Amino acid sequence: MKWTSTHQFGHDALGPVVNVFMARLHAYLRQCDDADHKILFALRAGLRIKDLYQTWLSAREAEPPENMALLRTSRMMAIKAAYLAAPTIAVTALGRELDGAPLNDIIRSVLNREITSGRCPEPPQVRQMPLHDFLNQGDQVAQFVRRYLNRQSDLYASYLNRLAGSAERLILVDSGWRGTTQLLLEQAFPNYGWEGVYFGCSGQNEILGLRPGPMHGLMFDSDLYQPDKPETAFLIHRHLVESLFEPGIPSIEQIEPEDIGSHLQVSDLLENELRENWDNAYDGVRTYLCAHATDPLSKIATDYRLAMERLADLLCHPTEDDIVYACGKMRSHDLGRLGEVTSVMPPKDRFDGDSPELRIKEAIWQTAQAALEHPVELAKAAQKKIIGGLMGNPAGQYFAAPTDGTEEAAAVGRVAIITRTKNRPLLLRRAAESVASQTYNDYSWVIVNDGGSVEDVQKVLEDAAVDPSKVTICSNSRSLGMEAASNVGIRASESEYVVIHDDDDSWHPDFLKETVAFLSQNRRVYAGVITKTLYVSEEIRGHAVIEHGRWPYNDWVQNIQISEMVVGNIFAPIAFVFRRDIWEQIKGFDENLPVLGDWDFNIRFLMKSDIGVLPKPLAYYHHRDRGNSGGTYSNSVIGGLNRHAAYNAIVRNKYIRLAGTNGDYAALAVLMGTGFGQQDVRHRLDNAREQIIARSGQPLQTQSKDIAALRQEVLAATAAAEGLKEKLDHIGRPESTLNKDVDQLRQEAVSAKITAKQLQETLDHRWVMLHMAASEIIRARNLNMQIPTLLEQISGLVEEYAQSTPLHSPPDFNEKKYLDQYVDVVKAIQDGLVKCGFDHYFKHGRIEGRSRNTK
Amino acid sequence: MNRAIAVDLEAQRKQPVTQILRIDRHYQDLQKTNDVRTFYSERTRCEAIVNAICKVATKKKVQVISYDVFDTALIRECKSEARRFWDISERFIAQCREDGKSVAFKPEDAFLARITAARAAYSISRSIAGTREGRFEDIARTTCDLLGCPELTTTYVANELAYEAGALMANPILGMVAEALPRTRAIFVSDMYLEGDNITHLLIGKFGPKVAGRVYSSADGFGSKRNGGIFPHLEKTLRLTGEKILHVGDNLLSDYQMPKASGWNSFYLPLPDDEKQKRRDCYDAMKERFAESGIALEKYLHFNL
Repeated sequence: MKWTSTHQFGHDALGPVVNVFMARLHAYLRQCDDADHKILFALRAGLRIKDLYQTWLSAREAEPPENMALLRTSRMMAIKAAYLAAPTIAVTALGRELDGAPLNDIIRSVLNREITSGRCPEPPQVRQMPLHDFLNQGDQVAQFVRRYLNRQSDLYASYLNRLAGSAERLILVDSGWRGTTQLLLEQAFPNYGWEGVYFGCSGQNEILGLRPGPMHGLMFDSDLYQPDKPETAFLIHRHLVESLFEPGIPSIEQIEPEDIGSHLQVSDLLENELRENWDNAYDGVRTYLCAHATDPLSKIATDYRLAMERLADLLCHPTEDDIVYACGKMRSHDLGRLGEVTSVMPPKDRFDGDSPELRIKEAIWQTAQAALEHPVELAKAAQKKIIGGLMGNPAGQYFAAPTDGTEEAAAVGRVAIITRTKNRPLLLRRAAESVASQTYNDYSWVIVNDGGSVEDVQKVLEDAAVDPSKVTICSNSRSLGMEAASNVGIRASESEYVVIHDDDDSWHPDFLKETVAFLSQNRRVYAGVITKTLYVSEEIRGHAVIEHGRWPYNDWVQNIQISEMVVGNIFAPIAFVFRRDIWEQIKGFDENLPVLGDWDFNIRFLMKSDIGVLPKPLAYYHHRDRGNSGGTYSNSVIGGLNRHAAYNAIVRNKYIRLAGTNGDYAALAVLMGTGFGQQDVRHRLDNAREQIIARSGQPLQTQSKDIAALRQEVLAATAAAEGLKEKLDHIGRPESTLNKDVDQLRQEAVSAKITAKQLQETLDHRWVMLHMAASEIIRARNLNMQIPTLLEQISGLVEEYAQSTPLHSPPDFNEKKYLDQYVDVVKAIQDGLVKCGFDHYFKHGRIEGRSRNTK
Repeated sequence: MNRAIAVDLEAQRKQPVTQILRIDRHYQDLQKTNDVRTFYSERTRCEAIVNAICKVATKKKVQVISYDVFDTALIRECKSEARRFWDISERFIAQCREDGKSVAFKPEDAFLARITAARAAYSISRSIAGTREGRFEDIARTTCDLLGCPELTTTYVANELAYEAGALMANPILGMVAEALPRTRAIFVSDMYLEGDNITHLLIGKFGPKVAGRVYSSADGFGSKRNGGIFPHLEKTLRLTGEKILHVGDNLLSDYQMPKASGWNSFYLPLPDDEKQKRRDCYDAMKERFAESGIALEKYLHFNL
């Protein structure tokens, strides 16, 4: 579409959007039109929103709510208002908003109005330190700033209380986006109920674990662009909305005594407004509202849809013509800062090392900057990449095989949950809760009562919250055995997927949702999936289940290989969802196996199809491994150890014999042999280590712990070692890495501790080096301070220093490996954005979760 | 071996080992029906359900049976909520014209006003006992405001209540349960924008005056079934613990799971799948109809789909 003027752009492109915004705003504010509420239009955007709302109402000859007012506020004002009641939050918010600014600049921003009005002189320069520390100092400047902030908080409290009158709920009306001002005001004045009504919301700001209360984005509420919701395209160029609603009046960053009790009028403020050419777009919107506020709602909705589709396309793929009209105003710095920026910049180098990519990255309207920097085809490609980034990462958190595009993004398919039980109502009750709590509800639940009391099962179900229409009981008059019970349950159901949820295990509420989604999206590759599992240690005491702890179970499993499976079963049934058609092909579970039937099933399953691994611990594998939970409540794994050994041999022998008559099993038979060999060697090594340790008298805690507990030790020791490595990055020194191979688990626990000790020694050595350097600085500069004090001050500046200074690589950092792994870093070095791989890692890579790749 | 024992053992061996049991047999007939109103009109078809309710009530020695209102005590027409709003909108315009009031808006405008008003009411109404429930009075007022005719609010309210009164069918199983358990009191609990008084009028119209004083709505501000807030309030009001109350209703979460979680007894009486599908089809038809005019209905109804 061709624009002829900014006024026309405002009228045609934005008018229909604002018309719908006004209708929705009116519907919301009508709910708050009583003495219990005060509707506060937050300056500065609130001024224009109120003006437009009044224009809209006038066109409709409707009366505005009586309880509306303009609120003097801004982020800086809200920070000052919150200082007295919530100083930590206020100061944290200030530090974040002015992140990277020197302390003296922050002080100036806070005192800006006092300085410009002449009420206080320019404050003396203070030495750089963290903002929180500064405000705790006793010196004159800090005291002055504290007094000033306290005074502002007091004044604001008086101002707001007068403005609110008898209202209990305060409704903040503003443009958007993350509720920072709302959060600060809520913390400052928790005696009021606060809610925010915005043009749009894009996530919620979080400060020290706190988020704003209810926020209502009337036009959109998303932090990602979604092509099927064109209104979310405003996220690509939020400055367009900010420009529309930004009047040419100063930001309110200070409250004066005379403001208390004085009511701001829209007309007074607009009379003295400093207008720019782009404000004609605002006039265009007003003109539109005057003409169309009384349109039938159906026409308003249709006109909005058409306008929004055009606008979304403009925001995503702007032409140069579009950019001229949609760029918005110069964006003024707020929070006491002076200056302005444009939403796009001229496509030419600003300094040595500048580039089109850098300008696109730093532009407020990135797709527009791409249009200016590149010819059309390249611009389209760049815009596509930018938009992709704003849509979030669609790849998911786990491996997804290339699809043929027929898989649905949402979970589909019905699941049969098979629960085997026999006289364990206490545990069955927990299993019922586990099933009832599933967020995915397209399942049927088959409970196989294998020779136990069916009345007990029915009693549990009476009290359970599972949909009764989803439940089938298969009651066996005599016990058929675990594997036969599974087959009975599966045969009694129909579904695409099956999972064995034994009566003593449980799930995370999203277990089915995640596994079914995985299988739906990866049906060409996997017919089964397991999730990570937690081992839960518990005991039964009377009528209660007492949990003693939980830790990762076989956490090392990243993929399912037949060659590993033949050594031993590596996952629990509770974690495994599989396709029914494979169960049918392999003729179900082997009913001749009283134990290890799941292992046998898994091997035969793998002979037909692969099993994926979801890296989330969503399955809980419960073991009564403490106390006297024998008999009915024992696990087959713990209660029947001798039978496991016997049937281990039976299963292996079965496949070796099978190879003689079925060529398909030839390879498996060979693997069975090598698998036995591996298992035997591992057992002998374990025995040998335990004997050596026992003879050496070393108090190694690993002697009696099982693999899962040992893994915890390795993880803890590894974490300690990694923590030390982080510290050593400040100086850099080669250290050995820990071997995470599971086969060396016990040795790793010892090795990790040794490495941690070595790292600690190195850290001490480096402390002495710092001591030497600090001592020299103090001597050379004749400073009057202790070495630890200087080091503490320097420590506070490390992050700032690192961000602003090219860093050399420490000796233990593997530059080649890092650059081989991250080719984008190579480009960044070539473009002069970073000095070397370590420079990138410390500035960005460690925050982005990239591997450090030490030598 | 004794021949009798051998015959007995042989007979046992021939018995199937596995017996398939269901715990929802009492409403399997209901689930298969393709017309829930006809089903409930036939006393003999309802007996299994009535017997199951009475069995639970007797076993648990309940003193009060609490019924969900819409689609339990009062069965709605086979329409989606969107379609209902549309019909109410058409009827409202017809009523205005009948009253001699000239209105410029069309049914689609009244419909959009209604759902915009409802969305606002549900979103920003004061949260009481953890519940935000839009109140019908507020919704009606805002609807008329958006249509530019706030003076028609009273007509709007009367129109909708009249529509509901005509469209709802009293569920006979309530009477059957009352006959079987004459000493058990009945109350009515609803998660709805209609306040208790308005629902009472609808119930009186169908069940007679005895229901007065026994109707509780989330719109009255004491919490809802959905968030569980209403159950402790009712226990206080009735001076009973939850184990003495049996709640019957069609919504799995608010009528079955939440009461259980609050210590009540509950009985799930869902609508048949066929009925639910028909209502979904009805909604899809409405969606398509509005899509032709370029209005994405699901976005407007996002708060309450």
